[in-house]
Amino acid sequence: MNVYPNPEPQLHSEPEKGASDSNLQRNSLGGSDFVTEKKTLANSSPKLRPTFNPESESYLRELIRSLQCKICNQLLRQPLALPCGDTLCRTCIPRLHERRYISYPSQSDRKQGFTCPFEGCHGQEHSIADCSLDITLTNVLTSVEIVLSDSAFSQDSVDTSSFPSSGPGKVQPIPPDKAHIYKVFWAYRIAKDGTLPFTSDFPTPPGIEHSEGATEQEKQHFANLLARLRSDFDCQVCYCPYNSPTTTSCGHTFCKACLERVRDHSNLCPFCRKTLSPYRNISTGCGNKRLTSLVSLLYPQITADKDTQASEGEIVSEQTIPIFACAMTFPQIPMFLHIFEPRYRLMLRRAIEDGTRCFGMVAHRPGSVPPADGDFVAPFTRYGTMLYVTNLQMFPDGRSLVETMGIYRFKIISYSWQDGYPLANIERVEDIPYADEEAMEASERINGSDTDSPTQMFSHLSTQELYQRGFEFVASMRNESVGWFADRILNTYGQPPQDPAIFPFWMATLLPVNEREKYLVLVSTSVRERLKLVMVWIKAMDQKSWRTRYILHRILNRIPTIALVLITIYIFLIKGATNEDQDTQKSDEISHYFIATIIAVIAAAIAFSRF
Amino acid sequence: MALPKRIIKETERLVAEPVPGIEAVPHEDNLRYFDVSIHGPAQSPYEGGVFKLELFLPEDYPMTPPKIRFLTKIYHPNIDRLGRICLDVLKANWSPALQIRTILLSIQALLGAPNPDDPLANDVAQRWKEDEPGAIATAREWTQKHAAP
Amino acid sequence: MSKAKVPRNFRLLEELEKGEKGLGAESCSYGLDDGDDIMMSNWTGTILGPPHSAHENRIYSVRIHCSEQYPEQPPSVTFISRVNLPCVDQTTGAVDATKLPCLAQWRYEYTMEHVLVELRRSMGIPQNKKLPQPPEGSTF
Repeated sequence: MNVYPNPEPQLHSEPEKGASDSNLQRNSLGGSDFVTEKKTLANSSPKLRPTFNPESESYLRELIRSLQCKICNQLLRQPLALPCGDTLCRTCIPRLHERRYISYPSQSDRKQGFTCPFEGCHGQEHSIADCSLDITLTNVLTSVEIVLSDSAFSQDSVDTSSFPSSGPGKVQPIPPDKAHIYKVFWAYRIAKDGTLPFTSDFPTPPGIEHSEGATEQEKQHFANLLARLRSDFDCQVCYCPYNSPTTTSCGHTFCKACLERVRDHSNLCPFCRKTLSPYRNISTGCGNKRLTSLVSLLYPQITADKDTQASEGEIVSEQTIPIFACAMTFPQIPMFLHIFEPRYRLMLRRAIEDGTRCFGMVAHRPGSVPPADGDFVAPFTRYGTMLYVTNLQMFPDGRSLVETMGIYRFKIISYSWQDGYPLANIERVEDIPYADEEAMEASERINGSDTDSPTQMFSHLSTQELYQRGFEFVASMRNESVGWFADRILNTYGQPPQDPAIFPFWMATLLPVNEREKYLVLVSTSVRERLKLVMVWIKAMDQKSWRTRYILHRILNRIPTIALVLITIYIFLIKGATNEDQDTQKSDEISHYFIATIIAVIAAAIAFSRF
Repeated sequence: MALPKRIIKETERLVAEPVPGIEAVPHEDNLRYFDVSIHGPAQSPYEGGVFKLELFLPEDYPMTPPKIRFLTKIYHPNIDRLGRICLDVLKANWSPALQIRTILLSIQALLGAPNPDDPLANDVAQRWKEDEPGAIATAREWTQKHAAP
Repeated sequence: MSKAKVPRNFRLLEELEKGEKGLGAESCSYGLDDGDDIMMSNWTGTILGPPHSAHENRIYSVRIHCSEQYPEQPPSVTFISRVNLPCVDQTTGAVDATKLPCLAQWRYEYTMEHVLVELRRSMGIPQNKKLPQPPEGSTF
């Protein structure tokens, strides 16, 4: 009698390496015959995909495997999509630990993490906040359950009650015409129980003597299954099957390119309107591995075309925008422009007319080429900020006052000139993912920074502390009523931003720091790095020498006014003195007044030119 | 430019699984431009009327919402004299996960639940707030006069 | 890559909104004649006469009609205010489409604003700016 061995669920079982052929192999195990087909899931390249033959054993095994948890071998229950692209059951998450030495982004659920159990992830730590219930996979599991469960078979008049149970006991032989469907049913059931090891091949249940293969009715049943599954794999943005499926931190999946496009317009999830993680997470993050392999199973043609699609996707991610070379601006910071040059009037008019209301702004290059620009040859900087026109006032003579808001940073890939202004192909510049930001913070706080840069002395501080210190500096400077934080300026630029990612941009806009320093902040893709750069400025300003210089500066500014007052007093004193000598008075008085007036006029001119 | 697959699929589905009381047919010479008709919802002053609308899917649809307006005159606080509609999902609350079908359903729902606190047609909204029965009577009158099927 | 073709009515709505928000060109404006006209066919435009010409400080009104074929076909433009210009019929005030370049070489992207700006420009060109003008405020 053939008995299917019931192996212990294997923890951390990995697909068998090197099993690169799909030859059928005959194994002999405990006297029973197994038809096994060696396959790997995680390592399978598209070429090794089983032929598109839904009712074949290898295909069904692959399908079931795509839904099995690598940890517990069971069908995934509440599948969580991890940032590394792997998936496990919510209950299979390893023990959570507190993540230390991290402070940004400041969310309580980011403090909980676990070490990724998957080999490909090399023991990386994931924050629980980055793992989400995979909604697509949950739907797929439901669809498969509906089609492959016992009740579904009985609906299709396949009588499952006559099938032997998986428990021990007397096993009845299965008639050959029912053998195939029984094998499917069995495989699905033991996968659900967790007794089908992730790496094992299609199991042969007890009681099978001979199988006639799938009946027409069964073929129909599987065709229905696939049809049902396919709708689960349509991206809700492009209505096409997922291309590089990427799962958001709220658990919704879109094509990578679609998600990038969405991110260009809004930072909310199209489904649930929760805030999406930074753009960089989308563009460089890992795709959802489970969904990717399921798409290749269900849509072999699409997977085969993937190379061409991927390259098309890259073209889409580059955009062409008009460039205004003027001043350094930053995201989320307003900028006020007076546009009078004819070529930029044209540029502005076009931006308004085509409805985008956007143009890129870069600064004139400050002297030598900044290191960030590399071999970029242009009279302006390579990195800039996309501006959105929030308000526009056009004057009869064609000039205009433009209120803009920085949206995002970009890097110029190439540019050409059009009607006098540059037209550039750009790439968005976004911050590194939160996980990298946290890793950088933890590493610096534990090991210190080994770079020689001036920011090194702030490495021991947490990102939150860096932000706090910056914030406090602003408050203390305001108490001393320093010019660049005057109420008038804050009314224009707003209060210091609460978001540590934006705060350095605000500081760079307001503080009297040279352009070269500001550019470092503009090109930095790490919040922590930017905050440290700001700390360097603050330190320089906070030093005594600076305070003295500042006071001196204020006095110097007032010298003409003081001089004016002194001269006036002097004149009156002279007048008082000459009053005693009535005879010589007249001519002297005139000359005194004449000289005094000239001096006063000069002083006033200097005073006004100063302010 | 080839029509994006999404638009083709949406059109196919609108034809294959029509929504009761809503019809949307693309123009032959411009597949982004639809003739729409919506039946006034039951138990509303628009009941019995068939309202014609036009809908256009702009270049960057679905990243930006469809443009849509009434061609049939309608007395409604959120629809102005030129048929322009004030509806959050057509503006700031648009999401690419919405589609022609859902938008048309939202408009149908708007007919059933006018919102005079977020008006586009100020005089109508004013009347709706001050004299609701009168406003409803006018809406019914207009429906009979302009939206008779 | 050709752009999606904006249908007439949505195009006119765009122009209307642009006119309402005052985003248009300086010295020209336009608006819908009848706010109830669902087809948005009839418009009135105004042109502020260009400086250093016989038109300086004058305000001209024109009637613009957008047919069913707009913007495939140019709009028809008629002056309400009397004006002496080579492209304007002196009995009816109608603008001769063959004599105004933007109407003669009409393009789909052109708008009513283009037409108004060009009319204004033609008032200011050297051969026209000194033309004797009818009394201010007279109409066709």
